[in-house]
Amino acid sequence: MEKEIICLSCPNGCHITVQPTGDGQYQFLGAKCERGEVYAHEEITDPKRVVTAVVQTDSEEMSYLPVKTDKPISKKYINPLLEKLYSQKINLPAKCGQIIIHNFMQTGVNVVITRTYPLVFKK
Amino acid sequence: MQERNYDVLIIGAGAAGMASALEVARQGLKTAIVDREPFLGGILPQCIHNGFGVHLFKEELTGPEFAERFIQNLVQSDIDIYLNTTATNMAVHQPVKQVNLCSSQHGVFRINARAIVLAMGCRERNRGNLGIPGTRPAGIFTAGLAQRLINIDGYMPGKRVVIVGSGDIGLIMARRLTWTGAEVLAVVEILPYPSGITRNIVQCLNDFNIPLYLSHIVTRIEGKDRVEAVEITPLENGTPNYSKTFKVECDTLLFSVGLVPENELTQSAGIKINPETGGPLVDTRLMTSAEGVFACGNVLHVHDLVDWVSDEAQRCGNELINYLQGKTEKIEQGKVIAGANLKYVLPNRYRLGEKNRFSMRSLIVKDKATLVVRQGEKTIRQFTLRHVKPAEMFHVELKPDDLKDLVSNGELLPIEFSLS
Repeated sequence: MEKEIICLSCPNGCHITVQPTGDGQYQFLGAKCERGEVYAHEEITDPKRVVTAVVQTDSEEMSYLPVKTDKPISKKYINPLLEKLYSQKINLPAKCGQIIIHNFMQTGVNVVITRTYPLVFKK
Repeated sequence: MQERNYDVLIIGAGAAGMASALEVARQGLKTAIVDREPFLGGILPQCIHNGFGVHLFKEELTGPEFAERFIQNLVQSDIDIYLNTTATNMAVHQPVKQVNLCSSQHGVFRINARAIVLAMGCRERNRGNLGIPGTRPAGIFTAGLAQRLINIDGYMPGKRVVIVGSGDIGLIMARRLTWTGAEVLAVVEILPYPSGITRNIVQCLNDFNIPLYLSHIVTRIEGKDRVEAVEITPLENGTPNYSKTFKVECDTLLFSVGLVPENELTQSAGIKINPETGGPLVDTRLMTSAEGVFACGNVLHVHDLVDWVSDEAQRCGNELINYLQGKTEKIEQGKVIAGANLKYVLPNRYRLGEKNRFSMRSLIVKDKATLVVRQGEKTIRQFTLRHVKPAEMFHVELKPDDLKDLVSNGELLPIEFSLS
């Protein structure tokens, strides 16, 4: 089945038409550069996204803290990942960059906290 | 009333306030920063998605991470930080400015400062600004408020959601709501093209098959206690065609319909406002009509990217230092006019002998647009821009060499920017 993909590699935003050639390969039309083909190939075979969410903490003072995947993760793992994040808790104190999930389902993707709490003030 | 004395007071501890405070304090000026929220960072801590910092840090950060880079420097500096503190009014047309403040910790108190940076940011336009007919039930939020409820407070604003406006905050919220278990039924945009960037259209709407209705408006809100449905009508030749109106049942309506600089404090102090930006009129030093009062970030004009806010705020901090050191107390400045197809050009003045950086917004959508800078009939400089649209601010720089022979009878002549 033919599919159209908008390339996000640069602001040009090429509309790339992807046609399966029948042997499991694809043909790409409309990309102005090679990066477009690479992007479209990944989008058609294994699209990935950076996931961000908030996770509950063990404190009432700051009930939720933001987290992100440290690299894009395959779309098929996003829902299981969100379910895991919503069922878990962060113990304070928390530091920006601290890993709370290592190598989620062997994807090589970690989840890290993106906000330090509490802050340490000099005065 | 208790009084405290500083060289510089920064009002607002968001992206603009933090960057200008750090710049100013590096020069050893005694600095205070105040914010009405209990935390530093302004809007950034609730913008948990990524895509910040590409220009400034050359990497993709989330909002809290972008803020963290400034916050960690701020809490380790000698700057006095006042949180939960609101500036209520100020007297600024005098060498030592007085700002009245109110906080839970200090009660009502006053800060005296030689210079002030206005960095209060902006606020969202809401239902009242659009004047949509219908009832007034619960379940109507601005997109940013919904974002705060979910990302900071941990509340779900609703389950079945319609979003009005395709600005980036609205698109980001469509994904956020979907990932938190809500169903986003429609995004309704009055313009024939999306206001947000392509990446957000792809990753926040297309990824979840959320329909985007271009050239459509919400024409009625229904519901007694809670939103029950909205009516959506297509625009044809600029007028709603009610014969094609359709209804979407939902319990929540979010508005992502633009931002307005928050300048009540500025206006009540008698500082002049630019009607095109909604922010104060500023000269090349980013100084307002009140001497020693500067402005930067979204309080000055609404930015699309936080990177440019930080950049402008650092510039503002440097200008403030030069001013307090007497280097720019009296400088000659010429007028800058926004001509054809430009909503505004900022700052509203230029000066000779150095680099001048201007920010502006287009009124048209065009590929390969030409920006011309003229003095009268004479073209000073011409720029070719790959793509312009109202939703994307752009910047150009004029070099000292571009700004020559502009003096007549001892006065600097006005220059005009126009786009075609």
